[in-house]
Amino acid sequence: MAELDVAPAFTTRRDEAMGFFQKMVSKGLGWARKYSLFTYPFATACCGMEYMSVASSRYDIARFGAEFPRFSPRQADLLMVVGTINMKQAPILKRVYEQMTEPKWVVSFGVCASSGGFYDNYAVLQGIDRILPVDVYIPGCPPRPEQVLDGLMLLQDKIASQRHYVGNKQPIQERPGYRDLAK
Amino acid sequence: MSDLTHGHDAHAPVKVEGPDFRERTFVPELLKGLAITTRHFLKNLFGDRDANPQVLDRTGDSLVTTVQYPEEKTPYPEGYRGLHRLVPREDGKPRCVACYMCATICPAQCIYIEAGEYGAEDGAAESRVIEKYPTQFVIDELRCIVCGLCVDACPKDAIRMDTYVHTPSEYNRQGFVYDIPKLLKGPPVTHPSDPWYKRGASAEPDHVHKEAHTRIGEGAVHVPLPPGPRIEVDHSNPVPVTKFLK
Repeated sequence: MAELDVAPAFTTRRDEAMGFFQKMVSKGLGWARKYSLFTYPFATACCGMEYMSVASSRYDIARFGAEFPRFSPRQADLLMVVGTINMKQAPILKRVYEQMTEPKWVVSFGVCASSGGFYDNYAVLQGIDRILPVDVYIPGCPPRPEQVLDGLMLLQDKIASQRHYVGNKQPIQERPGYRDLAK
Repeated sequence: MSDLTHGHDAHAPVKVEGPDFRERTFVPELLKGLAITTRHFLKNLFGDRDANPQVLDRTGDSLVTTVQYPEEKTPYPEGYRGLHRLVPREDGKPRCVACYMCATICPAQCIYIEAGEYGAEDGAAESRVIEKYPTQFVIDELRCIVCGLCVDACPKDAIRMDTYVHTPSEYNRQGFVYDIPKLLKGPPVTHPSDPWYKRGASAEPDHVHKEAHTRIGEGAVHVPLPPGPRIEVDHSNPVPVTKFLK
């Protein structure tokens, strides 16, 4: 079941309802933001090689508007966690995430970042979703470039379906159901 | 005086030839760079790719490098380890006999199996040839490093990674848990050595061990001992065999 199939019962609530122009602005902002993702590649391990392969000309992440890696978190709005995150790296990653400005999204790249992979030990964080809200998980060890592009397109769909406001410094309100679907 | 400084004053400044006027304007180099960019642009705009994408020849004139992925998919190479599948039998059930070999060898421990046992009255031939079957077979694809050791370890050719499909990305971790309905797919596989083909025909003698059905003491043949002197062993007191046994 896709998360779009969840009945959006909350839209009947008055504070969640959007006017016509609000909705148009939201859609326009979503369209603009999904095609101009500035990536912060937090590459810690061998998945970084695959990230380079996605970024280079064969698979060319620039076709999706995400070609520009910003190595300052303040200029990025997509945090790609590429590789194993161990317990010493976790606070740094958390700090990098907090330094990013809203709106921001997180992609977990590869099984080590997503679930710890086969490093099921005391030194490795068992999935970055223990410290960050993750939007899209990309499996694979390392993922093929096709898998990364699949994940990027999923993220673009998600961004397009979110609500965007002009001048809003608050985090984008998650639709209830994205993380509760598993339950 | 060494040869290095022969004929020169060691303290004299070295005369360096500076760039000439042509190099200082940067115009020819600029045009060269623009020519390369334009050539690639025109090649990508009007060129077509080699019809055989297995050939990674980048030297041809009509070769566009970029794969337009969602619309255009290159086939994966031979032996690519993709998404797992549980290989079905001809009757649609999984070939898996729940021996836990794959779950044991998996370095990521991403395979979870629960075994069920066939009763004596379940089915005709199957209940005595295969003892176990998986009631649950779950793979966490978000843990799986695609090493293929489960495929190598399987004694029944019941798990394969020959789907040539990569694991799709998901919004939540629950979507990566693949169970039997999601895993059981693909063409069925049979081997002549499958145990359910070994039954039938004539009745087998009792002392022949049947595959996957050997129990302790079954088929034991009692041969009478030859006559002769024997050592009588006193079993009344336990004798320590080695000092390590307790």
